[in-house]
Amino acid sequence: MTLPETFLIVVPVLPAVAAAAIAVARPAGERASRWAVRTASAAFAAAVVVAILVAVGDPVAAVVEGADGDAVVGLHASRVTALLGLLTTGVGLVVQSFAGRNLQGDLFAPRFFVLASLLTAATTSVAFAATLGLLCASWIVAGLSLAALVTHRATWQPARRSSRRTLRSLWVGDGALLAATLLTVVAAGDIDLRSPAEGAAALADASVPVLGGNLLAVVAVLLTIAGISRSALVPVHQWLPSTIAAPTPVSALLHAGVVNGAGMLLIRLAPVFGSSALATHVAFAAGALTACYATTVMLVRCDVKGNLAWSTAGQMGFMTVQVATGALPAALLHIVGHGMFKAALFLGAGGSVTAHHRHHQRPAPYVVAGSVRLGVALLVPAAALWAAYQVFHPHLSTAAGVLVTVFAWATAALGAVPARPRRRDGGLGCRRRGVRLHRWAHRGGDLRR
Amino acid sequence: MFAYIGGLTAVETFVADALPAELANPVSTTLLVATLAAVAVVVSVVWFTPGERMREVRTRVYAFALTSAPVASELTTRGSSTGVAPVPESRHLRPDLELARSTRST
Repeated sequence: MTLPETFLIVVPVLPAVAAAAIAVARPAGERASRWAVRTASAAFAAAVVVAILVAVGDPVAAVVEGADGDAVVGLHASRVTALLGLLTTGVGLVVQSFAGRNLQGDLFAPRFFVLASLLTAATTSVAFAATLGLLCASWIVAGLSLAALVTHRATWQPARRSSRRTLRSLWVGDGALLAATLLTVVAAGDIDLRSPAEGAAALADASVPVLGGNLLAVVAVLLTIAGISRSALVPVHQWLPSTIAAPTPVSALLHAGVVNGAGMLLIRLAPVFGSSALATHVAFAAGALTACYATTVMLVRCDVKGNLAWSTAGQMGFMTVQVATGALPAALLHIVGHGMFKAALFLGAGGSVTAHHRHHQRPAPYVVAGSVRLGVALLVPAAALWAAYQVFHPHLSTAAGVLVTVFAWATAALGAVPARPRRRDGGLGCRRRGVRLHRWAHRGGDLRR
Repeated sequence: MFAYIGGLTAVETFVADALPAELANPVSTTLLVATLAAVAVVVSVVWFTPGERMREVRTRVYAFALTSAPVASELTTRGSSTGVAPVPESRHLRPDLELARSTRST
């Protein structure tokens, strides 16, 4: 075994070993935290080494090959999977370091570190898996670990309810992925993810009597259902907001890593997923609906974690639209950027109320007319976008170009609007309005009553 | 803007050999533009159209969005009408910390 292969194997194995060691030895909370953080640090360092090796050289693979040269089991690091591996191990390290302090004195802290390490190992395996079979197994383990993490406060009814809902929703996707894997293995053998295009071609040639000649399309749709379930897209979106009952480190781990499942799966299996127009259009519809619906809900939520949870659902919807339109590098950038940003927001959620009050106590810097604000919001981002395109020349397809342009322009337009004076009610107006509307909804819609 | 487009170009260059250049059957540009336009039109109409009727529509949308999922504060608010905390945190503390908490003056 060469040194690069050893580093690649170490990345998912170390967190798994930490999980097993903490589960068997049952150290006290602080000790469990130290074990988990040290192994997570080592796994992240190994992921950095693998990323550097892949960036300067060829892909790294540590696989057991069958007689035909296809991978039977193993790990594979390309430039895409190296980026995903860096994200999963990095988020695992940061969250577990945070949890060491956040869960200090908690009786169930060791249980958290066992499950968080297992979740990190499973998610990293999803990123690096060299075969569809290993990817499917890691995917299911990640789902089970997540559902167990959500019941951290096992004696609390909402946490148990949330865990049951999460498990039910995730099983829809897990079942779909399992069915896709079994169909693939039976009809064409396991897909070697070092070259998924060859797997797609083998599936296209394979015939299953029950399905006629549409095996590739069936597998593509099943993969899409698996992605929809894991990324909490409509119609299986309610499990994600319900997990706000979990402690903050669990939320951070979930929103920055696990929920990116649709992106990870569909990007890694792009040749299979993209071969079916039905699959891409189902993903597009689910993504677009979720992006609109979740963003609308996010805009009216007053609670910090609820707001962040719906924001994640909206971002996952947008990321899935990117994948469905073929903007794969943009989706990859979205996964990495959103993961880091959302982890930071969740881990800082405890201070957000204070920050909100501090922000609203500041005097408004200046007041400008609405027409000037609108003009600045329209023109400045458009000019900056044009200049950025001139400088960097990204090679985007037409659809990807449209999507990226609209996203970049809309995001920058929101940031470019000069500040306007706000009501200094410390958010109470939002709460009062919410209470009033709750009453209104329960009384049949008459606001005057 | 420069960071986003620059970052996108960097990622695109970095993963160029590891990703397929394009999908075989992606969603068409026409459908994408039509969807974006439809969303923009609906939002603009609901948001900017004056009148009592549209105000009622806006309120209904707001109420639907607000009531379509449980609010975190409902789940985590400490204390209740029965006087029993819905979050059983004390059962999750180590015995020494629980003792310190129970003897702490409030």
